[in-house]
Amino acid sequence: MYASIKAISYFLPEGELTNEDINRDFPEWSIEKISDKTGILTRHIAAENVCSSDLGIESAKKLFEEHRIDKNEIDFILFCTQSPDYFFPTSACIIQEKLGLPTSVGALDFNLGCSGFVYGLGLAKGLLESGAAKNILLITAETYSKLMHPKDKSVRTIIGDGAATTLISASDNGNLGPFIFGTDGKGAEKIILRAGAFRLPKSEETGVDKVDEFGNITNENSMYMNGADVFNFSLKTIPELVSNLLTKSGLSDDQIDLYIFHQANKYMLDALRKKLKIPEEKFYIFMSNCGNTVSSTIPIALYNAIKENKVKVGSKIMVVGFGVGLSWAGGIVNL
Amino acid sequence: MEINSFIQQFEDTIADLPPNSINPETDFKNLPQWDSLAMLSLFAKLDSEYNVSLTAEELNSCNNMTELYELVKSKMP
Repeated sequence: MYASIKAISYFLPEGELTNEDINRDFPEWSIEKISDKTGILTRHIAAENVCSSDLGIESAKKLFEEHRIDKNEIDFILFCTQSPDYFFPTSACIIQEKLGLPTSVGALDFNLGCSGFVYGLGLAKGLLESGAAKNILLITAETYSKLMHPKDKSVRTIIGDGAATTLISASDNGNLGPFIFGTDGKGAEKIILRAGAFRLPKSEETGVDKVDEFGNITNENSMYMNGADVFNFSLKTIPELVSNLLTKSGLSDDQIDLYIFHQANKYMLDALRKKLKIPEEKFYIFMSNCGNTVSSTIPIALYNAIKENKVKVGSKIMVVGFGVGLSWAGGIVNL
Repeated sequence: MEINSFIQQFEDTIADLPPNSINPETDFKNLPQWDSLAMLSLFAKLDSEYNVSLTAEELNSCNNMTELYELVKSKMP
């Protein structure tokens, strides 16, 4: 009995931030330049009163409807977010109630970003194969838009809000794994929201705007990303991860039908693809209409890869997530 | 690897740079073509060509091509 992905759905909030909008705020960047550099035409932005959990709930409802899933069969919720409703209670508990799931479900939040989906698959596999759960909802949801400084063009051009729900269940065919995980806390400050939790509470000082070393305007109450160092980290770490995962799984790279990496931004993905010598048709890109939705980029891309028939039951997919932490994870998905 | 071939690689990497516009004293950070994408292109080139990784901070501490060249050379395996 194996853990396998049974269904995926996703939800993007209605509000949009298009390249035209960005050009209006940052006239030095033309609309073509933005889409060329990032591969993104528009990003979706949650309304002020809409939280990650709300997006997650909508994506779960879509899953139940699109795939005719009986929600009473669900026995576990894994909720991946870095923008929870509260410090406590756990947002997954709130999701249980709002989705009308049975009170017999287990539910927990875990705090990861771009590596979150792959970690979530690993956790789900553990729960399932140990007999602890049979039908697991892995919900990834993020509203980084609430954490961005309006004048920080480096993040505003790339980040989008969104959520995805993936159902992982027991199966006789198809499975998940093996997985490889990695962590480097030395890179903690490369992608960080400094103020507002317990290490640095918010104050007047943390709201003071400063220009960072890349010329972006931001403050400690807003998310900061050192894109250049994260790029370097990916170039160094990801090729090793991919090759270790192939070894661990006993597969050669031409046995992988599709590679789906975390959709950070097109430039980084192109550089990684070239370094790994993966042909374009085996390297899936899906971000032009949603941008970088953090932990949801991989399930959103996987949903569309399935829809476009790039993969089907029996396909071997390598998923690779990497980013904030610094954290990374790779896994093999046998659909 | 000597400085002129390094400068040549640099010129080839940065988009829209007119040829022979860089010399050892040039502060690359002041070039009109120097933006975040130029920095990423340079990092990709340093990785693929020289197997060298620099942090953004290290790069920004170089004030001209000579300093950059020396830094890259010192990190070459």
